Amino acid sequence: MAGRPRASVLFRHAGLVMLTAMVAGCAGYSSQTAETVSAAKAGDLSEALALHEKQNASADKDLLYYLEKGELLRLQGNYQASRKSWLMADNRIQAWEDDVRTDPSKVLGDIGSYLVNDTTRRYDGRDYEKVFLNVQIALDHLALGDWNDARTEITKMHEREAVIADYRSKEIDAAMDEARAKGLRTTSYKDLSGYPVETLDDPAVRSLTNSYESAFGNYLAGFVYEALDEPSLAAPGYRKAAEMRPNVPLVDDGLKGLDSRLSAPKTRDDVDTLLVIETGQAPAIHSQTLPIMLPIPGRYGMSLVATPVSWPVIWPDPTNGVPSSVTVDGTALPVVMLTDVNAMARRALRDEMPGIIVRSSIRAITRGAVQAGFEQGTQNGNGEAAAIGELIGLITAVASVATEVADERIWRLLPGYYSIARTTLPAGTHRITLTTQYGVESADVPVSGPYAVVALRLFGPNLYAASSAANSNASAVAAAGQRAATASAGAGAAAK
Amino acid sequence: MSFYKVAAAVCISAALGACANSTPTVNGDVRYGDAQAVETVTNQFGSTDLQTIAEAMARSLAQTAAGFKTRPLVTIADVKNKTDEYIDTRSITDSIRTQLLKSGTMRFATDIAGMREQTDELARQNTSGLYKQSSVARTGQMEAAKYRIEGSITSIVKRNEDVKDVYYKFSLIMTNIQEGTIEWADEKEIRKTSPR
Repeated sequence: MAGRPRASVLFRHAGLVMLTAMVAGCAGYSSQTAETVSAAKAGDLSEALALHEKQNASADKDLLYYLEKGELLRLQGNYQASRKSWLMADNRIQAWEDDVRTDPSKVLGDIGSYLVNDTTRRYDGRDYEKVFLNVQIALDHLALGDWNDARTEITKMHEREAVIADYRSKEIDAAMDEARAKGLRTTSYKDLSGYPVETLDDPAVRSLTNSYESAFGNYLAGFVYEALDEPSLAAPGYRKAAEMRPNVPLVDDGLKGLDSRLSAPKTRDDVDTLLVIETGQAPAIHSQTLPIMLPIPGRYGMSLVATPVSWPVIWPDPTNGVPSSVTVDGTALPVVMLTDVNAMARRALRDEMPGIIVRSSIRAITRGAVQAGFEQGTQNGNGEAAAIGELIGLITAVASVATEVADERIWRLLPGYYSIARTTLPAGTHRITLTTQYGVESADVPVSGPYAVVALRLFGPNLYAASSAANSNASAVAAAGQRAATASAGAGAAAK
Repeated sequence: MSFYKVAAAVCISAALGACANSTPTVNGDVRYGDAQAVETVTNQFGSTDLQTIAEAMARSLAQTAAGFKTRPLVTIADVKNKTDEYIDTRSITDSIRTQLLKSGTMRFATDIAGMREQTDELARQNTSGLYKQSSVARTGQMEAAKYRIEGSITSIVKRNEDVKDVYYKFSLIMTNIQEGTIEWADEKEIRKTSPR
């Protein structure tokens, strides 16, 4: 029977080509951003920015584009551009907030995620990312000497936290209702056989009240309100930080000493200085494929089938790179780690898992039903119709595996840890030194005014520093500096 | 055949859209509301709580001040926020002061928060050389307050699986600065309960 190939053979080949293209197009976010992160870690920020733009060549930029770009620009010491990028990201999150306020169903139900995978959902940022965007913008404002704008950003942070709290409770209720309606048995990650439950049951994760309120965000709020002479707003900031990081003297002193600090006469020679030490980077999300028992309709009715589904996993950070102390002009100050972003990311995932499980299950059931329908058609039909049915059944079966990837999108360049130290310094320039796994890193940072924030970012072997004075006529800005002098950027760069 | 075509189109278009980004959209319907209307959006401290407290305190203070022979000169110190909510208590005391000034029952000396601007302005008038001497406000003529108002706001929050209950207590006292005696005190309680 040599001659023309059968139609079904042609269709099969065409289907396989299509599937190959689909799989290639669905690389996870971690691998997409690997080169950019690697360049940034190596201190080559221009290359990192170029790679980032290359990865996001489309005119339609998404939230993550602006989040990552804002951090790269901040590392470069370009606070104006960083702030601009993050405010673009903030516009997108405000759109999400508007949706949540006006029509939550718009956010809760996304048909694409039920048909293909969660990556078809508009990326609105994880809860802690939404809030840390406010924190990072506030730090940019501070680096530019805009304390009132930093205050505005912190107020937005409080409001955003309230919106998230309201939304998250609705989302969990909706997921549970959906699960009941579809007769799903599994709604908890604990029931997923083989899932690394310990990553989400970690005491560091369980101890968090939620995934979006951070001790650092609250402490920074307390400090900014204090600097602006608003004790009634500073007090809850320090109080909340102390509740989240109990029995830490430095944190407790924020509230205990508030009245005495505010009633003491202010001089510009003594600067109450908050050193913010950002280390590491936010975690990646990995996909892990595990079977889940689902009621799939088949030729002989409904049957429980072990269906492979891809689940998101965040592994704990084995390398806590938080320095135990920071040295200012030769005097060591204790460093207190306030917020572990890895733990917050896992807490966010823990909160999202019921929704993820329900959506993934419904998706798998839907695909199973479609595949069964085609197989049934193949059985009943003949000739070309049977061939097409066979092909589509094959495509559906392979596509269910090929497109079944967990949503790996996450803000990768966000710092991994936020730590603080606090001291009173005489106005002027001070040498700040951190001992890291790469060696000793130093930066000369000017401080002035009654209050100042010095932001230090350790990323890879590089130290970036910025400072800002409160209530001084001129903002004192020291921009990014790096150990490699050739790569330093921005005004007043100072690092060794 | 048509069933297969439609189903195939749905599957394939959905699959090809797997990696596409979608653009957020915003629908905005803005409308003005009554600023005095009861606000129950969440059970956090809100505008109705602020207005209720300010009205209750201003009324109580005005009644007390009515018994004074002359309008008392008062300064407002900070109201301590002892809750874990971000409540701007200065906004509450601003409302109380506004209502009392409008009713004409009390006079207010510049408070600590406004003292820096006050002294800066005095210094500017007296040292800049920009003003006619006859119009310059002289230093050393500020009137000292006889009474000081201060207070605190506390809260108790309780929650179970179904309900969140928030109780606020706003306390205010007025002290005779020279004599150190408390001349007036009042408090306003608010309880709010909402399903979780």
